[in-house]
Amino acid sequence: MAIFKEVSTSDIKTTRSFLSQLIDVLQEDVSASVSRRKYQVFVTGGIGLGPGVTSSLFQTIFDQDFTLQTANPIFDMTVGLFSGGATVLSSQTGTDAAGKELFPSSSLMMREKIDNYRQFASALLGDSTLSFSSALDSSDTADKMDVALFIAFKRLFARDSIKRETMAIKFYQSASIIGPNPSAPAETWYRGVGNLDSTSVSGSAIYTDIGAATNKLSTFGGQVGNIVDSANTSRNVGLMFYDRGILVLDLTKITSSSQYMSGNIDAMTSTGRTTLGGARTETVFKSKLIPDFLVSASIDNIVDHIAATRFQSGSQTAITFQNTTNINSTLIFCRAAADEFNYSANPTFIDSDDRIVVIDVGQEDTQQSFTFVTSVGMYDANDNLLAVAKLSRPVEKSPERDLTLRVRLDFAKKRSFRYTK
Amino acid sequence: MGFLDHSSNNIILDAVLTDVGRQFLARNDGSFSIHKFALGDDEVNYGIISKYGRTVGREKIEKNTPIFEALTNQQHSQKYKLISVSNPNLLRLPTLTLSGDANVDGLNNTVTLGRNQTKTSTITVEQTIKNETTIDVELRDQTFVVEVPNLFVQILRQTPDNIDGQQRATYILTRSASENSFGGSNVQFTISVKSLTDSLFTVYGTTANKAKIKAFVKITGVQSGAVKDIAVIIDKNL
Repeated sequence: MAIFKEVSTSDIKTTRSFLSQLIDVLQEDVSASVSRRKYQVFVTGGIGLGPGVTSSLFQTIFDQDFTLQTANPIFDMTVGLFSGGATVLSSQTGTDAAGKELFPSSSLMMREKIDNYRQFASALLGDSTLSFSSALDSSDTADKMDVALFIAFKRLFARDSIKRETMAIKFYQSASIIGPNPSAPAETWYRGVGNLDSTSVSGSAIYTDIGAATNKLSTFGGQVGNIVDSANTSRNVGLMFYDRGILVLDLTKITSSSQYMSGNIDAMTSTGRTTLGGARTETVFKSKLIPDFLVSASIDNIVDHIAATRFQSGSQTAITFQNTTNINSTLIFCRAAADEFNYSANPTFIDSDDRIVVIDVGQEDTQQSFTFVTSVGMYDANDNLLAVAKLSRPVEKSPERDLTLRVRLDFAKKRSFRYTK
Repeated sequence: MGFLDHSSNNIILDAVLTDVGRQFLARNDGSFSIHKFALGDDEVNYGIISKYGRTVGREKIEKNTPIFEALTNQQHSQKYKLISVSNPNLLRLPTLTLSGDANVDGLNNTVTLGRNQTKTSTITVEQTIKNETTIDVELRDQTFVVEVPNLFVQILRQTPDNIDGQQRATYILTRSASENSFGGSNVQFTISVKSLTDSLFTVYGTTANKAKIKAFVKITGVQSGAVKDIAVIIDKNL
């Protein structure tokens, strides 16, 4: 008898539970340049006095201005090209003796885009030479992802995995068709004005992993679900890798890829810029999203276009999903028997005469001491306090009452986080 | 720390690892091993029972006592513990009294030391009880836990069991062989001032007098749970 009571091994149990959190990513967070961080690690030389081109290999989307300390990174976004796909092969001029793909100078970062694709294919499919297909394992050539958009969610939000059948993304298939003069012939809307930088206003679709909970696919990269068009669920447009927290979308399928595009992009020219889509006065359409823009533009230009225009810029949800955190818990049952813990070392428990105050004077033969419990301390053999639990209200302990307190210690990423704006 | 939500009738346990618990987990050597538990009642004011009686007082304590959230600092997490004694009819509990050499003021629970001449003081903490002839055998402390501010003082000829992140050193001391007329045990130890620089006095000196540092030593009887807090005043010029 004392102030401690030993915990027997039968009073310690381990359990596992799962916690899901709903994550909403807002359109304006994806589109705003202040919440998109660039890492300009790709640098070219200049032509003449030209400045050359710098670009990121991916961009990180934050939930607010990324320069603020309170900003949380939500996901990384980049694009990739399949080395054996039509987009690459139509542009490739050859291969050097070392196996390096060669491309004309009007293209930009082609090898980096291919390497991006290979890296994701290696991590998710187990072979860097494979191409993604939507649906997974489809042998149909039309299902192979020639041009892929990769969205890799940060662990802060993906946690241990993303929950099946909770992913939805609202994406604008069309680029802006608003030009300087809407009454002008439609074919002129696309040129010279720059729909590369104009926010999309129509043609949105919702892509989702509906049906993934009952069609549990898996591959080298873990559990997979097919991403489909919610308006036509038989139309597969991408893959969700739940364990990795990576969304792979077929840009050919989620965009109006044949739409004509125009605007200024970085290029290996004397000014470091060029105009995609030709001059406004031209009457012949020149450039489409795929392959022209994807081949000619840097990764930064492409991600800028997708993030800034294809998700809209309002306060609605652009991407939503639920994550799952696996919580391993230790349950410790602290049992206080009827004759235990009925006295207290609390200074108010005795008066100046050392007398226990909860027993009325003159009632010593009929009344017994009682206490209240407000905390449980878990100690090691050397009396070090390892964990402490507090009760939300005092609980009486008396010789007429035994008490079992179940203390649960969770071993998980304990940071409770709800993403709101 | 704020208060716990007590708006529902469900009793919620808010559990956290202490800094020592996390330190032991980080060691990854099995030192994080829960061996025993203790119950505490830090927030409870039993004087309410005296004022309102056992029935109303109980209800007032249960319903009108806000509970603080759990603290991660082990020194402050569980100040007052509940005690198990097989005798259900105890009327009085022993307390700890302070005595010692000329530097010890037992009445005011203070020990005055200096950094030059009066660097040490021998302290005796003894179990006593009023209006009883004997202390219940189960409440006679065999071991005392002494927590001292490691930055300023140490216990001579003893090795701390643990020094936490707040520089509080914990010593576990065995009682002296002798006992008093109540059967109460005592522990005797010598507290010694460490080498203190002037800048330490500038930083830690009291508001009224920067030449004096005031720190606290806590002594807990392991069997009785009784606690004695002693103020240690270190004078720069003594």
